[in-house]
Amino acid sequence: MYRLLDEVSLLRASLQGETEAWGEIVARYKDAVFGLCLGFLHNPADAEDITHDAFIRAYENLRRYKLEKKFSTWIFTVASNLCRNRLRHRRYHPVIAPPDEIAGGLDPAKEYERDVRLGQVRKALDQLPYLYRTPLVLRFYNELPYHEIAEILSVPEGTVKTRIHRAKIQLKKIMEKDKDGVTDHEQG
Amino acid sequence: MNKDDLELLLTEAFKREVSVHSDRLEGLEFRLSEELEGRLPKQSFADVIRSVIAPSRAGRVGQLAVLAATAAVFLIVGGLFLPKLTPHQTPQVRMGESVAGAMTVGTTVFLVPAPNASEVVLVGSFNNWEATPLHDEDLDGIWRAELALDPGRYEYAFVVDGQWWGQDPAADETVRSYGGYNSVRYIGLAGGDA
Amino acid sequence: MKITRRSIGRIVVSLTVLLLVCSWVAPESLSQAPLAAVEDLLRSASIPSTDRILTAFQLGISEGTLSPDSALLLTDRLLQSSGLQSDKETVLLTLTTTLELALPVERLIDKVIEGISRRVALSAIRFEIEVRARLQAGVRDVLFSKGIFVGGRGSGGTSLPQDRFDLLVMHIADALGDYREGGGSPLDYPSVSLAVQQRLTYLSGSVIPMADVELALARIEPTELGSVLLGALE
Repeated sequence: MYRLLDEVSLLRASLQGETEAWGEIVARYKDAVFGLCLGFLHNPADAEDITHDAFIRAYENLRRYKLEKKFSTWIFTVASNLCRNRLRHRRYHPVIAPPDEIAGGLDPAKEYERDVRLGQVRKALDQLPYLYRTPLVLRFYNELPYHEIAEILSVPEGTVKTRIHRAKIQLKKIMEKDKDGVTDHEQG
Repeated sequence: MNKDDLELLLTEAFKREVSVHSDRLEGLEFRLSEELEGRLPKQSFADVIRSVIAPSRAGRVGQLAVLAATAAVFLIVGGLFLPKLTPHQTPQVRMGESVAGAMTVGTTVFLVPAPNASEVVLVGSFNNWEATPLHDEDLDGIWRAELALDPGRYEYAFVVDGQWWGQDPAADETVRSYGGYNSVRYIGLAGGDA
Repeated sequence: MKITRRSIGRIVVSLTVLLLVCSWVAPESLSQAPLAAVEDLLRSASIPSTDRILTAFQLGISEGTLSPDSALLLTDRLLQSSGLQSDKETVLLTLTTTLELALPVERLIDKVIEGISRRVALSAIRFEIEVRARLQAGVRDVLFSKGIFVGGRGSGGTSLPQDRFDLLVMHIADALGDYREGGGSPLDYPSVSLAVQQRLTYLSGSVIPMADVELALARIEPTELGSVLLGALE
């Protein structure tokens, strides 16, 4: 039943305590929120925790949310703040996420090249400071416009653009260094 | 590698990473609705007061009534729970500082009366002195922001239409800084809200 | 081994996995990487002591007293601000020396960023940071002279873990710095002492353990705090 309802109706129902309606909201937004957390924190276990906490906290505070405003901005802000708090508790020691399996099997060389490039990007992202990584995630995973990113991160729009710009430069530099290394091996 | 290439690569890398781990999200919506079963979204402190004082209207009167009632409650509660003095001069610990007006437990509210302002922002040690905007959604001239702050000492100021204003009456302390003023809040004091 | 497309593919995939695993098991090298952005900024601005500054930042990061994000934010804001190149360098070197002396930089960095945000003249920011850095060093000396040490050092005194010791240094020095900015006189010992007492008491129990506050307040004399302040202003 809830699958067919529009978002505002679902939120209204949630406000009345219809937790299944909230469940439908969760179903619709969980990938986006999880992706945000995973991009920010680079640790799947932390990302899962925070995704869960974000939806609990959002439900508890639903009365504070204004129905005319964009729900996505609101839930992303809740998640972003929780991620930032989690990071403070790590006390400056980066959590190294275990390496992902490389998806894709024994296919033509083109697939491998793509996989290698993706692996390089993934590794380069690991090396970006949090400050640079967060707007990148919101822009290229959540695909949000600059003004929304600014609202979520509580910084001016200009700062968002500058950080994304610098982040891309930094990524390219890291990947260039990395690419040289791999090319040498390939010729070996 | 040209610019657009990198952007596409980033999007794909992010999406792939999510799909690798997406099994963690299986059934999250069911687990959450079970966990939340029987719970209602919290009624805010202000909602309760507003419903008592001005049952059918929010807005100017409601907000002012909230502030007045909050101040009254705080004076009574603060009076009842005055902490005992330690050997050294103890500053008055304002119990309930983070409860007054806060909609969520564990957050800190910043309020600025600025009826003619078009922009009010908060700058402080909690946001690297970058602007966190305050909002006056009901247009009653009182601008508001709410932040989740870990225990600690925070210096801050408001910037109202470009003018720095560092003497927040709700602050625990005011200090001089670079010829101006900063307000200070101590969050999470023993004796205050955790 | 026959070189087929398939085997090249396997090698490439294995190497990629290997690279990822190596990056996984070598956290030190990864924590240096966020300083790559800082290094770029410093070199682009032709800051002469870049290597020394980076080494100090790296030291702070491995000690846990500096976050890579703070280092980047500070460097970025400082270099973008208007002001003399020499002042920017002095600010960086003051922070560098502070890190080399194993003193906390958190409050100093915050003061720099606040000053830039307030559009204060860079020379004034530079001066303020120098004073506060000296205050920290002076406070540490006083704590040592009162038998309060960092864990393990000294005999017959009270030793605290590094992070708790740092909190005392940071907040006592900060209180003295604020007192001075408020126009207080270093020779008005009761007022100096009160400023420090109040600060420590406000923080007691939530940020600084009560026992540490009591220890510091019990042992330090008001005149000593006044002397630290005078010394930092010379």
